[in-house]
Amino acid sequence: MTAFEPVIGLEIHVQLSTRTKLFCGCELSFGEPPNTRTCPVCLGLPGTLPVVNAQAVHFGLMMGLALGCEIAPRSIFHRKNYFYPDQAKNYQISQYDIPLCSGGRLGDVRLHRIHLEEDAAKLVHIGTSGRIHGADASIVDYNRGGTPLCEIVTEPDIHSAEQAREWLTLLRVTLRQLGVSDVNMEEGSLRCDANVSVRPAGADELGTKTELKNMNSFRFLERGMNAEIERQIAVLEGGENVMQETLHFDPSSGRLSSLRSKEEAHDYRYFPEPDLVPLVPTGAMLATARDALGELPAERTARYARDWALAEDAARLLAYEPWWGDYFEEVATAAEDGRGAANWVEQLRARIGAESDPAVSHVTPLALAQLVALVSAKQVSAGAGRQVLDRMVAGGGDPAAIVEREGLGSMDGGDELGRIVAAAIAANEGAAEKVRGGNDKAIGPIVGFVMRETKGRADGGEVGRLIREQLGLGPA
Amino acid sequence: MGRMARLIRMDRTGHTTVAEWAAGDAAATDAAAAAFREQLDLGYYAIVSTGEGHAEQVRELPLDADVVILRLPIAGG
Repeated sequence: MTAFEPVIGLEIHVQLSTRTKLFCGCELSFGEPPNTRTCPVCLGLPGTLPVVNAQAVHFGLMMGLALGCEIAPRSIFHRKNYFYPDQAKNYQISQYDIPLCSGGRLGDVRLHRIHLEEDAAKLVHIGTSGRIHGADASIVDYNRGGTPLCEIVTEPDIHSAEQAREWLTLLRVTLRQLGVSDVNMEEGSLRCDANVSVRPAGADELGTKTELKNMNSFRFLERGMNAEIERQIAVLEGGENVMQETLHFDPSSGRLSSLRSKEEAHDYRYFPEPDLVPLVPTGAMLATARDALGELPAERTARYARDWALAEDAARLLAYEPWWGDYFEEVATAAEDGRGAANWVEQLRARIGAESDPAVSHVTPLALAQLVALVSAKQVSAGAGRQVLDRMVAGGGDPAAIVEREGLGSMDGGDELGRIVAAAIAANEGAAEKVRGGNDKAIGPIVGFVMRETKGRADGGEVGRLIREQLGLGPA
Repeated sequence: MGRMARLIRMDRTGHTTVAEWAAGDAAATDAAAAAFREQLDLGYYAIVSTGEGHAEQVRELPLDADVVILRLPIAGG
């Protein structure tokens, strides 16, 4: 049987966090009553003229520079003509053959282009399905019409749904850190279409692609792509050809349905927008955009791995959420221990939630650094350290004082710990026998007994050593 | 004195007549030229019609034009 390789390219629409729309002064809408954020320009009334939003261009330049794109010295807007009620003008102002940004790369995926365009209005289909098929009526809200979007088009460098999800996560955190968008998929400020094809593994030629439209969550995105990859492979294995078309993935049923045959660019009769002058970024505009970039998540991940010796997963976890990254750096610097700091920052994150800002928690970076140092010096066991952290999360405080007040300091390997270990072995004879017989993993219940008795104050390594010693075994 | 020519600025407030002049009125043409330069310095660009459906950008005030339109290429946020 032929093995197939999926080939995926993404088209991502990012709603820019400007105050006003792309070509007029209407403020962006966030749940206002329908058709209250409109004007003659975004409704396309005769005699009106669009003007490009300077902030949207600034954000577009920031994205282009951050993603290593080539910025066009002169780009132009085009009219993309189509007849549908979501565009009062019957055309969308977009960019076509000369986009604002070309090329570029994020992680292991090359970018084809980034261009500016306006969003369409929102159609609401009245009926049980919420879709146009079977709807009793459709109503239109032009508040969204004209909202500034950047469309990011990747090269077909993605080869699995999982890779697509991971890459989109990196893009999302990068754009969020740039501050150009809310990048909220559920609210529609980040929308993703996927061009999916499959080809025999090792082949150079691309297969016929289909387009999966408007997947509004990372989970649906992955499920939708996997469903389409499976479908295309089944079609090809059945001796048939994949048809180029646009598909909708229904996450509730897991089914794909055809929306329409795919248009070609010439169907849209693109022509240059005569009401707008070419977009010519000045040196000052580029410098301002460059100055606004800051350190991006991929760079920060690499720096954490390099400077603090963090594993990639731990580095990514902190770098992708800059509020956690900033906090981690303070803890690591104060503790002079990157890995220890990362471990305890992750524990704090698990307690207060990833979306919470640790800078406003009860746990100051300096206090957490002190806890890192206490555990590192074995003055507090890891288990007791977790109890200390619980107290700090609840009410702040100095970890050394909490340890002192609550008697959470480490037990040394003296007589008291030795007696508790002996009791633990006596209470877990079966487990002790297995450990004697060479099953090291069976030691768990004995260690657990000791930890319960000592309320986590005993050092795990020392407990293991004592158990083996009392069982007459050598070091593990 | 002939028909008055107009320098019009179009922006989100609608359109505003910035200057008017007539051939032979030296004071008015000087004032219009100064206003024109001032608007260009503010970032506006100027266009004049060259026939039905055609226009061209100008960088000096064309005194023989009927209407000169000023627009911003980029604005707002």
